[in-house]
Amino acid sequence: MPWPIDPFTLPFMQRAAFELLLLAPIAGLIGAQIVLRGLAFYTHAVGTATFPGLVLAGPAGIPPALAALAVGGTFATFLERLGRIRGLGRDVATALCLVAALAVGIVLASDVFDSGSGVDRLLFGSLLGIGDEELLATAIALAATLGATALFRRTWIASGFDPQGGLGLDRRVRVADWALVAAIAVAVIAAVDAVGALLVSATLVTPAATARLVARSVTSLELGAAGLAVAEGLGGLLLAFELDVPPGAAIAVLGGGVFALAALVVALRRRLGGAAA
Amino acid sequence: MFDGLTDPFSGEIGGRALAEVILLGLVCGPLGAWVVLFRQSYAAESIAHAALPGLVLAAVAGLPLLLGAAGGLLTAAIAIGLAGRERNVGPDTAVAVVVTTLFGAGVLLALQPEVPARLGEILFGDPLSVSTGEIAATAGLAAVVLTFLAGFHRSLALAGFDPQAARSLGVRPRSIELVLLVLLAGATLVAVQALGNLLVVALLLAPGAAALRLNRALAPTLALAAILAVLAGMAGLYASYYLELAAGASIALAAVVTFALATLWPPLRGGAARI
Amino acid sequence: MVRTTDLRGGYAPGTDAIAEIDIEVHPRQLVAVLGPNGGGKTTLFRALLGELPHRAGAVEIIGRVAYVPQTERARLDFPVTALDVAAMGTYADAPWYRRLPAESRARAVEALGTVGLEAKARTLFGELSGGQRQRVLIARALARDANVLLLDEPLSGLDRASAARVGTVIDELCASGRAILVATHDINDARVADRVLCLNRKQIAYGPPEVLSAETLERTYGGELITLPSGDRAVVVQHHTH
Repeated sequence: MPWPIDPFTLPFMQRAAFELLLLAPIAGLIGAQIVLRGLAFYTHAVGTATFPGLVLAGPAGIPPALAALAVGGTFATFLERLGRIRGLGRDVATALCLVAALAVGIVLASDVFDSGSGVDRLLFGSLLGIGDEELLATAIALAATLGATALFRRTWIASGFDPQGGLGLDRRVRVADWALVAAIAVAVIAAVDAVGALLVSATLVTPAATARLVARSVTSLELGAAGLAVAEGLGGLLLAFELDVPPGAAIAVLGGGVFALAALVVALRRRLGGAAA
Repeated sequence: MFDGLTDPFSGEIGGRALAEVILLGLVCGPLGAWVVLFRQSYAAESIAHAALPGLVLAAVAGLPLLLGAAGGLLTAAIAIGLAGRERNVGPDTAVAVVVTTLFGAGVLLALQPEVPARLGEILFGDPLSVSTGEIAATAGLAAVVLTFLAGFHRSLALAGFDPQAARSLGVRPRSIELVLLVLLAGATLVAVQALGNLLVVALLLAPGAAALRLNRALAPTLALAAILAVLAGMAGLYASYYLELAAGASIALAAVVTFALATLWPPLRGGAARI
Repeated sequence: MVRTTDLRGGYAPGTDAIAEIDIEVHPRQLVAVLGPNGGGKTTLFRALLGELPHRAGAVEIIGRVAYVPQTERARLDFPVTALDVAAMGTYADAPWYRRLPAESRARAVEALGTVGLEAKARTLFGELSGGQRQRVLIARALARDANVLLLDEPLSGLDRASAARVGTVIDELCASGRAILVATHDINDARVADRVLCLNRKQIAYGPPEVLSAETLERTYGGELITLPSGDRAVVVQHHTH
């Protein structure tokens, strides 16, 4: 078998590829909302916040996805509460919650792991060790994402475009906003297995940001993001396999490279197009 | 009893850790207060992350970490600036993409089998392993940052509280913000050795944010921030010594707890510094 | 048509951002709402929309209300076409889990036509000019089948020609039977309206443009009024707020 296909005859590679395929629609649908509404920092924070949960999951015997959900959910609620304290900026609250979660996780981890490798897996992904449990969790996340999108996509777009609206959608917007926050948390938890707590943006933000450079409609943005998520995911997976590096890191670097290339092409076309006009 | 207080700092290692923590507190406290006032918390977080590949490269090549980190930060800043200019990419997204990519690159580099650098230390720091040379470098950098803060004090105050008036008085808020970010990068470089790439933000933001909630006048707030930061550092060292917890993480937690306690204070009336 | 009696309300319990609003606006009437920043213009609009957290007093509205924000508030980098934006006005027609009826889309197209932009239906919102964007936002309000329109400084930031075109659209909408309230900074615009409401947290004056005496203006703008030496033009100094 020619090289690119050959590794994929291995069962664990096939599972990893399947995980990426399940993640792709999530990366497309939710990633689009994340970049349209400037929620990248929030996404990164939720991802990082799952770290202490993941550290505890193993020894406590809880499925990691559940632990991540519990911690991520607590984080999001806490952040919401903090955001209501008068005079406290959202940014500061997010940054401090994030670092607190990380510090707690590290303190816990030094008791739980004697080598650093366990921590690496949690932080940067274990795509090459995906089991059936994780695949099931991702499939459930996908179902939840599709459901939320079917209900709220219209409202998300309308309120993202113009938060002030005045279209009589006020109550609906509040529900939809809450749903989006929850959907991001679910997406993050799904991504954490593949790319790790610290690199969820590599799946949820970078492909969508790249697609955004050229998309002329929200639908094409979603499709582009999903497609790129698959391509970059598989490419990163191959790299991780060949070079024996964490898959999350490989996907992140590949994604960044594609983004830079795309941005360059767009900028050049604009420059040349402007000159010709 | 007194012995209990001084034990952690009595040996060589402990003594150096104490010196490092005090220096860091003096720098990060006031600087962090400014960062919070200028609403640049996300920038602080990102700068720390973006420094990773530079740090790793420096560790691999055996160069002083500061050099590598400086180069890495410069690259990151340029990349973020360029990416953010694309009309369809907001600053929030641009920073996320660049930082995540650089972070991934750093991890890739650090986990090559030939690399001596332990990723864990770069990420999480180890105040107990600072050398005298590193303390000297910290002291030097601290002197520079504090001198700048003192020198630019009035401009910072003006640009932070009233950008419009600042412009009419010949102070350019954009340039001031740039100076602040450069100082921020400097402080990150200094703090990375002790706290690591990921936790630096705790000592940078938490004491400053806490001081802002407790006070109102600018100068006392900055002084309070420094004190809180130093105390957090020492508290972390105590926790590390007596409870055998990771030192960098303990300092970070101590800082965040300080802030949490400060939020219990009633907010200032009269809508003072909105952080 | 809109009628309020002693309308008051605000964002926190116990504090009123606006109070003592007594107005009556009939179809085919254009009311200019004058007042300083922070004086309650947007709050009044929200109260009329029913989107103010705390509201007391009587509000009677016959028909539907729609709000048209300033163009600067809408995002220019969203990949949505003019038609998409107009269609957003119809989103309230169906619950979130149902598809929009075909009739809604037709209304959006028609609304674009009313503001003269049917040719630009497929153009991205961000690629339109300032005046065109403002008209699309008006179309969005029209698609809501509203007969009361609340316009928040529709002419700000527009050049003369665009402002004139938007102004024409507003006049036509008014003449065809709608009641329109326009928040504005420009006292001269207020002078050509059917009625003027001077608002600075409380209602200072309401009536035909004749109510715009120097004294009323002074009470509205809180003494930040400078009358130029020629005597017939008054300039408002924008208050510096944090």
